[in-house]
Amino acid sequence: MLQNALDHPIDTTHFHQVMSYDVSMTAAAAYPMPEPKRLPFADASPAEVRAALIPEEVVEFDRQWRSAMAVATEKRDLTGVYETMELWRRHALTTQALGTDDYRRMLAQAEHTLRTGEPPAGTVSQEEIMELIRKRLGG
Amino acid sequence: MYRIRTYPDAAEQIEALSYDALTLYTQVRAVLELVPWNGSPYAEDKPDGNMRQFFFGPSGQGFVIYLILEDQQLVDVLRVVWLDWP
Repeated sequence: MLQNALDHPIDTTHFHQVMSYDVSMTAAAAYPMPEPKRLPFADASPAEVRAALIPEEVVEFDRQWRSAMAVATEKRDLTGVYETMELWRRHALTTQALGTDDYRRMLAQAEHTLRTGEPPAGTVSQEEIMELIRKRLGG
Repeated sequence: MYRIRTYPDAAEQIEALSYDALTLYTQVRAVLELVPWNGSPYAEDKPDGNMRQFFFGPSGQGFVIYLILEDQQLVDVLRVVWLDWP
């Protein structure tokens, strides 16, 4: 096991406590699972989220934040605040991932389709996309 | 069962997915064909809203944003994103 450990160096910041245990420790304890990655904005503050949004959505964020805080104050319950933050962290993540221009374009496409029922030109059918996926996956 | 249409931007994003991410995406597609309403609503004030988001992957680093056109039994995939962060 020692040789194995030497062959597979591990981040010792997560390891020192395990190393102080008896030598009969299990392999699972010796090789702890890596901590799962946290998505960007997973722990972002309200100010960080607000800064990442497009201005058009900041107005709605401010309205919902004020409403959630008012309810929390009245009921002494932060559940609504957490739920509001979870949703807006996803908006911030999506905005950052797509970039503000494409994010706006996506919202415009969605609005157009909901209003007219028509998707944008160049939309790919189910059969075409399945063929593309089959080719990529070698099926 | 819902039929799935893919917007051109999303089709490009799907083409750019790695083999592993694409494999995971095929599983998401299967879910969207059957129960698209299981995705999270994209707007808090519209819990029954047509625009939804579905996260996938070991750390949720993939997500799909889509519309449900219930009267036509259609799901329109707007964007497919796979985050690659350190």
